[in-house]
Amino acid sequence: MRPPVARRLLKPVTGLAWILVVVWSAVSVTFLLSRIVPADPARLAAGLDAGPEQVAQVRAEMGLDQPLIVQYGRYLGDLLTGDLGRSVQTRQPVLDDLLSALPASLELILVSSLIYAVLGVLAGIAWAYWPRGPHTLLLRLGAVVGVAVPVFWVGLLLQIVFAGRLRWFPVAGNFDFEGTGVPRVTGMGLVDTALTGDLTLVGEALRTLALPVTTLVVTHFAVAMTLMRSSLEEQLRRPYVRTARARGVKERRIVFADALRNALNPVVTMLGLQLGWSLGGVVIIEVIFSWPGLGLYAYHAFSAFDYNAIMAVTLLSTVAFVLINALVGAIYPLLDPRLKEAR
Amino acid sequence: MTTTEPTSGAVGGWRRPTPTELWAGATVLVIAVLLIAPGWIAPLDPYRLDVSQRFRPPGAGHLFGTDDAGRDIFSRVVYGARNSIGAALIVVTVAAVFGVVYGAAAAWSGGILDRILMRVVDLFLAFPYLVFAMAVAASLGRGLTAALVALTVLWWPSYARMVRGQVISLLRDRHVRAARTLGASGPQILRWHVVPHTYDAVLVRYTLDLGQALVALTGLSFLGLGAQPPTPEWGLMIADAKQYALTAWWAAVLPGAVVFLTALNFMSLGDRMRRAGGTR
Amino acid sequence: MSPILSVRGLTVRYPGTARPAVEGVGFDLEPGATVAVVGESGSGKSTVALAVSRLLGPAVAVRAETMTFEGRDLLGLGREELRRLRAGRIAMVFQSPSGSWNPTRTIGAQLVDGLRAAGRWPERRDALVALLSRVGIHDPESRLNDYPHRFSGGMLQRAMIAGALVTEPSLLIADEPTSALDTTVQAEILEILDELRAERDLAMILISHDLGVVARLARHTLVLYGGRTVERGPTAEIYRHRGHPYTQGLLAAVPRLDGPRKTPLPAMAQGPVAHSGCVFAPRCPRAEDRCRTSEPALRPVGGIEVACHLAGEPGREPAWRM
Repeated sequence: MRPPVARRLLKPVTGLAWILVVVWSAVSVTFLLSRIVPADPARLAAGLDAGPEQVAQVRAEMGLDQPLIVQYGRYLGDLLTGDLGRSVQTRQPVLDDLLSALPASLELILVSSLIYAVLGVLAGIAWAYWPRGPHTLLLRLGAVVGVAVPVFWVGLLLQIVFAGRLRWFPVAGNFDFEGTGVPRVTGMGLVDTALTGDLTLVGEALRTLALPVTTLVVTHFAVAMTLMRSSLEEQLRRPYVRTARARGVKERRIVFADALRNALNPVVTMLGLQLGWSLGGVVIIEVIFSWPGLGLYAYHAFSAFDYNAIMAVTLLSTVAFVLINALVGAIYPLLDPRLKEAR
Repeated sequence: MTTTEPTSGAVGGWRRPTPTELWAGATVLVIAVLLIAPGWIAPLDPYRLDVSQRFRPPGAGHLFGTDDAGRDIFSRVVYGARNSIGAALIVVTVAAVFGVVYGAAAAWSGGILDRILMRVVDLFLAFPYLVFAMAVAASLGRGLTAALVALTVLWWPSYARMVRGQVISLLRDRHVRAARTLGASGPQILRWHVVPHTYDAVLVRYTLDLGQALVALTGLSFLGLGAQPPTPEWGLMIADAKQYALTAWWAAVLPGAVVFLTALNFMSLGDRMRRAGGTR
Repeated sequence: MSPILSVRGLTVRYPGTARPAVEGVGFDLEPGATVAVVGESGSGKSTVALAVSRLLGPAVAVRAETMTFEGRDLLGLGREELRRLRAGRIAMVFQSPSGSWNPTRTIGAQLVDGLRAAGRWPERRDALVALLSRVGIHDPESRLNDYPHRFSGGMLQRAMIAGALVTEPSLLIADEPTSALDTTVQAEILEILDELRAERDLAMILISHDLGVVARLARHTLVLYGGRTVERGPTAEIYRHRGHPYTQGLLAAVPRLDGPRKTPLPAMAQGPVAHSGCVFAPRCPRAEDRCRTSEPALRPVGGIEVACHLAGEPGREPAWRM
């Protein structure tokens, strides 16, 4: 066993090393995957009507005639300079594609994460605080349905009912920048319309967000809710809660000042994981609602064997996932004074 | 199994099955029939095209209506169970078996080997699994097999981690020490005295995961990364129906409801087993 | 003097259990007096403590013929009235020093919560600091800002005592206050507890399995076994008489430096508690047929009360004398 001081000093170093290992593994795996793609990338890039010489030329241009190890080295080198290659479909640098698709996805993910985190935590607290009564039936139902319901089914159902039948919300697409003439500042409809100060435009942005966000919330809030409830109930069984009760402290204060902070720890971890996973869940939602984000971009890349794009999206989501987890790890000490001192 | 509740007046080894056991039994039975003999249930050929019967809403002739090619959706759902539930079963079974062996081996070997083996597990768990499954499935060439491989590769580490933790605590247990004293060999102890004690928790996880895997698999085929047309597969059926969902809602909604209810059944059953067994 | 706390026929049943955890327990407590409740783990002694302070929660059935504190029926009070009572009049000290504090809040914050609940903040702030110093915490002002993990077990228990007494309660329930501590610290804490109790004319219920502790602090003792009172009376008399075989065994098990090694309490041959007859019969070295069929009631034997068919019968009693 290393002495504690040394371990404390090494902790950020090993944490960073781990992140690098994960990212490097992701890079290598995606590289390997891209070289076992059944379709010939050179053929795809050259176009269907290209002759064999043209394909060979494209192959040489793309470096695909080199040994695998050389290709790998070149790929790593390109990555370090921020060059993710060119997309076969859009014929643009993948990085540009990603950057233009990112805001739409971020908007969707951030808005819905905020809603399901708050909703899940509040519902979980209410459940633990009032453990009996008719509302628990509803919460229990929500908990089971929320984890089992497929994203694509919720999305389609909402689309059919609220966009198709009731026509309350648009069927597909995000905020229409071109049609309304709102300048793209961040690329997120909600933010950019808010910047114009025009409330009807903000309302329009909210209307486009409503269905995809609801889909994400419905399929994600149950986990936070269930975990919040069980974690808080576990804390409320601890002896220190009994001590506070013996001191005559009001139940509400016990829950909010004493137990809640300790109970939040696993919930924060789970919310972090969910945020990291949400890029996966968002692919299906963006496909259903034709939301022009990373998910839709990835979907088109999958369909076209656009391997540079597939690699880039996979890498991006891995990096995001690892960083979010590291960030969550950094939040813990704020919740627990024992860890704060150990830092 | 975990669902065993206090046995009162058990005579000759037989006792009344608990509600949970009845539920599990019924689930197994229904799935067995769907997988082995879908023809007993499905009224029509799932592949038969009939343009005159296009877009029939649910009713007497077609329980779930028909799709854009006039195929009977109910029959396609019944035959689709083979591809959807069957695939989920394969994914979770392979993942569980591999994960249990891997986790037990890591726990048993201990020391540096254990740390290396678990670092590999950590690495797998550090990937956002859905995106990776999509990338793997897309690269292997779209098809049900590709989706199966992609999900299995990403599914086993959670079993490995769970089983390793349990085995480590079991190895410290008295009955293991007793067996060791009696001269049992390492693999014997693992096989007969340790690993069987993890089955309760594995079975709970297995049942819950069947629901998860079903949703994940149908999700992949919804994105075109699983089964390919004209195979009857639930996710694929919904993806096809997506284009005309606003006019013929049933073609997307009813197969989706079947996915949902099947997953719900697995997950509530697993939840119930967990509570009956008291494992976390 | 009229008792500050009067309990008769206290019966507690946890949900989903066949037998009550505590049955027919009763005692009176005068102001400034101490009663000890002793017994092994599972005897129901902590349940008695939690039942009196009404901390058992709504799922647990608590019944009693009478349970009055300062003239008020504890079983008839509402949630808010009980909360006020616990904030002001009844204080508790629990066994586990580390578990009884919230690890993520400072000692001060948790103590102030108690004062706030009693409506005595910031009025009693200086009294809290003085009391902390009195129980042996150096530099109490700054230590209030420390988190529990910076305190030793003994320090936490001292702070717990200070927090319990700062609201000037009239009853202190101490549930195994020193069991988790080192022997040397135990003695100090007990001394502080007894001094403060005497100064403030505080009534105390002392829950313990340690008869040495009990002999030092409690005038009266109640011996529980399997949730029943098996012996009750002045502590000195109980030590002298040893009316009940269980008490005899308990006292014989107290390690003594000066005596020879004593026979240990017989191990549990069957289930620990009988379902009919005397609760102790399955473990009793002297059990007879009547012990297994009829339950003995508490009856006066000498200066104490004993629930044993054999107590006081000539020729039998000295069997366990040391």
